[in-house]
Amino acid sequence: MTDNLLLIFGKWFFTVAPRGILNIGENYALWAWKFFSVGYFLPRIFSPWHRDITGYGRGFDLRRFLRVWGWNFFSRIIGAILRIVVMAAGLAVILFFSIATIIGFTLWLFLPVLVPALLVIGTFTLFL
Amino acid sequence: MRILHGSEIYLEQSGHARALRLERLLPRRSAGIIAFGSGVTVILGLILTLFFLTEKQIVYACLGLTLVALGIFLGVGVFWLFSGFLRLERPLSEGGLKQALQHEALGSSLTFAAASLLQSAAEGDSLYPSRFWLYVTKQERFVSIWKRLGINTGELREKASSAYPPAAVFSLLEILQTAWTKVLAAGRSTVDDVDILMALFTTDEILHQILFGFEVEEADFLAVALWELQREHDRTRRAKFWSRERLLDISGVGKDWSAGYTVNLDRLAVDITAGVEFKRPPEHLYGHRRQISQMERLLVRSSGGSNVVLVGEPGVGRHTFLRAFAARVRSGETLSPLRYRRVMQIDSSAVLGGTGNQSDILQKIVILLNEAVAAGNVILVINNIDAFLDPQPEVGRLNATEALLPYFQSSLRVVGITTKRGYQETIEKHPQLQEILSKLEIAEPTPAETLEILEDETPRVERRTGVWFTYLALEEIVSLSQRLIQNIPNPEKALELLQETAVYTATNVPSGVVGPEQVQRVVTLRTKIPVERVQGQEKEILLNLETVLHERVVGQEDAIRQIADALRRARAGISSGKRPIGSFLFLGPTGVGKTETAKALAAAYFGSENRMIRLDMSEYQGNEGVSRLIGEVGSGSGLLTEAVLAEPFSLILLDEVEKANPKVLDLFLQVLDDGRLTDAMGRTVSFTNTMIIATSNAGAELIREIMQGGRNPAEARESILDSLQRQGIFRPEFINRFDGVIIYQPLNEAVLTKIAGLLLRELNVRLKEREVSVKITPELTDAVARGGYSVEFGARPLRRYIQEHIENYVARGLISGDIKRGDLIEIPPNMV
Repeated sequence: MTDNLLLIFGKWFFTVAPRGILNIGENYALWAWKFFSVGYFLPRIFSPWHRDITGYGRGFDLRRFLRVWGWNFFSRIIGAILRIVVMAAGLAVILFFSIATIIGFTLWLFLPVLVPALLVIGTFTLFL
Repeated sequence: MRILHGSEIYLEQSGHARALRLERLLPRRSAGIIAFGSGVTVILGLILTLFFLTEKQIVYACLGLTLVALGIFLGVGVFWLFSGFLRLERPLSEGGLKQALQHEALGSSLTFAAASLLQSAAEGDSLYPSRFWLYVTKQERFVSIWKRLGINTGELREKASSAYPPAAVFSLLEILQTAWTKVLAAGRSTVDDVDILMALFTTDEILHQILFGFEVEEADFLAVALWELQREHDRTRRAKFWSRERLLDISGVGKDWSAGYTVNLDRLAVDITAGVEFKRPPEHLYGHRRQISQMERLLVRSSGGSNVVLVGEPGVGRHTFLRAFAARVRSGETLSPLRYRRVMQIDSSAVLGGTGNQSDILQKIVILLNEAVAAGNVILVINNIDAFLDPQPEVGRLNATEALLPYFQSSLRVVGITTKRGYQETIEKHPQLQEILSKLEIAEPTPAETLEILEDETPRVERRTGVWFTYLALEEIVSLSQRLIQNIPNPEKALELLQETAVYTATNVPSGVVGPEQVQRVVTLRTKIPVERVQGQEKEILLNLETVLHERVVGQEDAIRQIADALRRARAGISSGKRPIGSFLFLGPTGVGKTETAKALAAAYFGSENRMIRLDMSEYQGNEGVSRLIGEVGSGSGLLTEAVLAEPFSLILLDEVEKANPKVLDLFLQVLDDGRLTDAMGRTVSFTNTMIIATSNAGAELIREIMQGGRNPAEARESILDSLQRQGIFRPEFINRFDGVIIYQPLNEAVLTKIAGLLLRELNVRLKEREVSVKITPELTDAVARGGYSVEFGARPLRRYIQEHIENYVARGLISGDIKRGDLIEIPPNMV
């Protein structure tokens, strides 16, 4: 319950706000994880596309077996390809959000130093 | 060092003193200007950086970057200052709270808003009424609250300024202590600005009086304040687009890629999960949140089939409940086996309609169910599931129990929707179905919950129609719909009334403000029940009810006076509200005006003779009488309960009540006592807006004997009632339940003459169309009275006597041409 405004600001700037930035970054990463169904696809990566599988029928016929196996395998491959593409896109977006969060977080912490430093450097470079 | 006093100490304790000072320096509205400046700086910086980078002038690019950083820093400052960080509530820990209580640090629990109020209105140890009222009539939150309460802030300020003596002050200590006590009692730990006003409700009698003048009670203010705070909280929550709650409220791509195709289901079923993406279910599921969790648990249990049947009357929110469930399934906020499934609903009408025979229908159902099983991600909702499981199916229904059972026992999850009656007639009769379809009752929300549902819905309706609902209007909607619309449950009837009132106000009230009067008007238009405040014609009727009734009923002053008194009590709002408007037992011989009184009453008070539910109790002598009145499971609804559900505001006439079966009379004991009855379908029917009149000829002989003995039967009421009880005609508890037992006296000659005159005047009204009239002379009325009277039937034969002796005479004259238009027919008494 301190009444020192500068101290309140300092506390907020260096503790509350960085935690907030990390939280927001985490939220967006989780959004991407869920939107691109990364966790959802992982255990189902080779599941047939829309359960589109053909039965082997009664008795054994090698040609029929190979043909049906081929079709079912193809269905799984189609599913896997699409899922992998979406998961890859999701991971790329997660990576982007992670990097953006790290940059934002670092920038935030250095902002009080960075702003005066850039001002000083700029002024010196321009006028001196 | 400056020594702090009174309010200053409290402000320092709150931790908001500096923030308040800062806000004075930089008002909140300057945030927009600073944010704009910050944005322009960042954009300018970015343009310069990019430009100089392409020109390969690194030094100037650095300057651009500096501008970007400066802009961000400026933006941060704005964010910090105005995003509410300084305003954030700082709830005390349990230890901190104890310590604050010990040290009487009353300011430590103040919110920013409360501190702001104190800063504006308090000085030293006092709170100044004039400054306080200025603050609470200008501050945004309070203005919204007053508006909801239907109070004009200017008028309120004016009234408040003249209500207090010039030197009036409040004790700040007392107010804060009261506020804190109330807050702690409510289980909270911070004192907000509305809590300070609530404290004044207790400590300041003048405030109480001012608001009472605007018909606002403490409870109303509290309810509206909580509503406003809830809305503020919801708005803030919704505005945080970066919050986890908002970001993760999605389904994501490819959740159905591992599931089978559902070609037929897509055609015949409605995908509720897809629907909730565009039309969100209500945020606050009052009373149903726990039931959704219960349904989820029932749907994932492994043994005995993972199916649920939702049992409730149409309109209690079964479909809203399902939509809320579907929203949770869609966003994966549910139990793992249910996540990201498709909740698909098939309607009995879609499946059963348009197909000829049963085998076709069964085939159709089987195709749909097979598809749902094969898809592997469908939670199948079957609306009106009872229509598929009827052991004795009628048109549009089917007994597909045997075909459906294997699916109910499979991995498919089914949610059935049915009514109580549907459940009783189908699933409850089949033990296996009962076992594999877990029953989940969706109860009708209570009036308090309905009010909260209306609070949620009101802003949406207001946006659509451009009207503004006061809180009292919402209360009136709940109250009137509860009392007067019985055949539709809550919240449906209340929501319907909300919509209707909004449309009525938008088209008929220029100000667009909806108060209780508009609600009353709409209810009156809808139900034909005169619920509007006692005014104009109705006021006249009530005040002169005796006269109005005596226009049709001659004599029987005692009965008429008692009924009129009961009605006035009910309409002025001082009756108990839990019993019928009035209940009377009319005792007396035949033809003395008992039924006529009831008819006159229905016409005068209830608006029409048609508002009378007449039951001839001689038809209820057998044991089946009760089931005829309230219905029986499996064999339809009851005559009485259905009639009252359809017309809750009516007069119930129980003719010849002494002839009814004793069990039927027991049924009425409850009606007379509690004002409600539960029918065979389990519906509670309210009789609180009915008037019950029972008539009986029992004791007629005794009444005659008393009259012949020269005594007044009304004065000998006790001995008449004793005699009826001794004979076992009525039990004491039955007689005592009535508001009044009225003894109707046999008619004397003078009364009979008056009745004869009345009936002759009625005849003249009918003859008016033919432009002829009968000359009514004292001799004629005397002759009619003498000729038409019968000891056994009282005045009842009078009407027939007039028909035979006068109407026939006039009819013959009109046909033969002896009586012409404009004639005044003089009938010699000796002809009658």
